[in-house]
Amino acid sequence: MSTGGGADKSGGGGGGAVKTPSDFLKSIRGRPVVVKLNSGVDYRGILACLDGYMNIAMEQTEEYVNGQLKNKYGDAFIRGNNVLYISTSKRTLTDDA
Amino acid sequence: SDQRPRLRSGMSGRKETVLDLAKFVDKGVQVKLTGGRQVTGTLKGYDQLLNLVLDEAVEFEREQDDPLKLSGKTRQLGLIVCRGTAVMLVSPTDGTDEIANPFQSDGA
Repeated sequence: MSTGGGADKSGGGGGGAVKTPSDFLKSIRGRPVVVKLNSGVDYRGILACLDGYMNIAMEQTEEYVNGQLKNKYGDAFIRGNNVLYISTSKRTLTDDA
Repeated sequence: SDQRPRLRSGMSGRKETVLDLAKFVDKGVQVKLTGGRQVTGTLKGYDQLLNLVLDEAVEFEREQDDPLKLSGKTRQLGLIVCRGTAVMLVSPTDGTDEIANPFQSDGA
């Protein structure tokens, strides 16, 4: 018996709908995000796009080391293997279209 | 049965990568590498693994005691290959360039 992968597609506002990590990643495109790398450095900016390897393209990127702003990049590409996590300021995903 | 991870099958079916470095060929880029090294140079080539070819490359050396702090000293490296697995971050040195964003959303 296979769990329905199709359920993810139909699940919109329905109660009990499961959000996969893939849905989360799609939902945060174009939003301000915080990306923490394995090295502990944080990058804050607008998430332009990302792919299945979690490679990331960001705009208006700021680099924080130990909480201090160190650099600014108009554009930045981060290779996915370095990513520890991606975070948004939103607490829930209920406002997603 | 074990299904393949959806993230990969859903998002990387095409061989194109999200990092469109074609726009930065023959332009200045800065590259951060794992372990803290930092290099700038003119991007001459790249591949899907993010191996990079940089010309007129300059390495910015770090303080002995603090690997996150640049010492201000530089090393001229010339023509180099940055191995993709070591690449953490790539950024154009000219920060004003704007990329055409195919995923642009109205809410941005």
